Amino acid sequence: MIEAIYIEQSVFDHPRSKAIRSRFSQARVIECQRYSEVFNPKAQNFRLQKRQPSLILAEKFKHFVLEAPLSYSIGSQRNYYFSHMLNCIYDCRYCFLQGMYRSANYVLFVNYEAFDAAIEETACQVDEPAYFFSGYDCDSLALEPVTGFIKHVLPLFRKLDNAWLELRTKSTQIRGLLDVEAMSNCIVAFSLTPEILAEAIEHKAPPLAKRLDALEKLQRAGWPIGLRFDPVIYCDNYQLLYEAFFEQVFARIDLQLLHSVSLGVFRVPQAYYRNMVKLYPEEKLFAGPLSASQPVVSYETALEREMLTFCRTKLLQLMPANKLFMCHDHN
Amino acid sequence: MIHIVTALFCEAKPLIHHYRLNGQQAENGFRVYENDTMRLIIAGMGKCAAAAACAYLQGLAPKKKHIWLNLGIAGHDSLRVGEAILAQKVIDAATNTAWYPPLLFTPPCRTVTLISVDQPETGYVTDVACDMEASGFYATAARFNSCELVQVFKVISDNRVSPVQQVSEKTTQEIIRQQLDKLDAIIQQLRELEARLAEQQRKPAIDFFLQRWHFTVAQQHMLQRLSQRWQVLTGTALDSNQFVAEKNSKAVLGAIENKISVLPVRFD
Ligand code: SF4
Repeated sequence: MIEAIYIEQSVFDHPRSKAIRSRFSQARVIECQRYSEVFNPKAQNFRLQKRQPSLILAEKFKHFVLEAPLSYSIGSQRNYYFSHMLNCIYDCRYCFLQGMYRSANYVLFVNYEAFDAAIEETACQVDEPAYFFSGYDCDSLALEPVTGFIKHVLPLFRKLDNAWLELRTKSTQIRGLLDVEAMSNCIVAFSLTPEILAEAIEHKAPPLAKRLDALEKLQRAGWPIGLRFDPVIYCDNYQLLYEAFFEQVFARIDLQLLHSVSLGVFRVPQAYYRNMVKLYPEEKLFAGPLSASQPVVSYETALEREMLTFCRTKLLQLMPANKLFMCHDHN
Repeated sequence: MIHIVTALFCEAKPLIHHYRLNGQQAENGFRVYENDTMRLIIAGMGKCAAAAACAYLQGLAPKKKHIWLNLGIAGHDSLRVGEAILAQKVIDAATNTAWYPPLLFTPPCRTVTLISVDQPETGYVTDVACDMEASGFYATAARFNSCELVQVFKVISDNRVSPVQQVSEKTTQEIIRQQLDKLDAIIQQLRELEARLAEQQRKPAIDFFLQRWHFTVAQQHMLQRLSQRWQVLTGTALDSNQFVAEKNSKAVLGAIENKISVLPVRFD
């Protein structure tokens, strides 16, 4: 439940701002000049705010579409991401957002048309397939009933020949997708984790079983499916856990409709990691065998290799190699 | 500790009685009242005085984090005299700078935008409360703690119908006294948040290690983090007796790391 909505002056009367205000009619409405006044001040505590995040409605002016990190690639050389929203209603303990932002408030940029223009322009500039990743700074679908962003942007991708859209999600908010015709260039990529780990560290996210149900419904409706086993989390019995987990997932998968699978271990830039540990010093994930002195904090090299090799071998017993992509952030 | 900043003695008086605060010897121009959990300072009028009072209070226990509250009276065009408000936005009229105190609890009273002016105002801005201290208070107090624990609580003293000329020390005391239950409720909520924050920031005890070996500051941080990891993975405190054979701090840290590296990591 949103208790407070901060709205930038310039979008105070924007139709989307009005619609969201009326949806949360009990919320306090506070006008601000720029969202950064609320979102960026140093002395804020992400963990405290996560108890009751507010919504900030803002206008974005630049950097609508950015080049995506190489580790995001699922087969294309041209990878981009865009963030219509900052922060997430879920609370995964490995999420880099908690290390990157000072505030846990959700920022929603309501000028969707400017994203459209930038996506179209970027796609037109390249003559090869271009992948656009939504869900870099948020979950793509979790707040869809409020934002309607995906509903808004799908028609644009329907008319772009060389553009692919990836919706990365743990959400079960799929009604908007089921209501429209499936698109061959829109991949619904589910982030999945073995149940025991999901319960322990993916707080507030739908349980694995619900995600698999949602995935199956979309698959049946003809949507290309992505599986994101990223981050893989270390624990003593990880081999047992992940082997059973991969079998559980692939029992629900139609390989014809499987677009891609990506695999990567837990990794996060060191500056973010330090903030994350400060916020959650008691977190088991951070107490494990991580090599914290590298620019990108991850498991010690030998362990990382062992985990990736194990998972890759198991996955290749269940799926074709050409659909598997490894995610690395090299130090 | 809860730090309360008021401008005037008449604003402070109901709190002094309610919380049984004892006056301390006036030093360097500020009068401070306190009990075991609360410190109240009478800053005088204006944002500079409020800022200076915050700095003064923090100076009394500089290494500690405190809850900060600015309490006082404010004008408003339409709210009734005696109504309590929490500031959801504080604007400094002179610089147009704004602060947005995050309210992580259901407020027991109305929340409004509050503008801090440099000179007493007789006119009113629609739907905005007006005072002379909050911006100075907020800009300074938010340096000393996370801003979720810095709040501005005011009681409306005047409006278009009942202008500022009618405000007296007596009415000020009375309207504040009538809102002490709301103040109590806010303090209760802030204490809960403070407890959560303290839990987050609690450091494991490493004194026994420090007594036995010499650790540099950087090594102390490492030791603290290793102790935390040990605690998380074993559910017990790290015992320095396990490492008595080690010659120096570096060897101790290495030995702890070795022990941690073989601890089981399980999430079930
Ligand atoms: S779902 Fe994704 S964006 Fe949301 S908290 Fe989890 S990792 Fe972060």
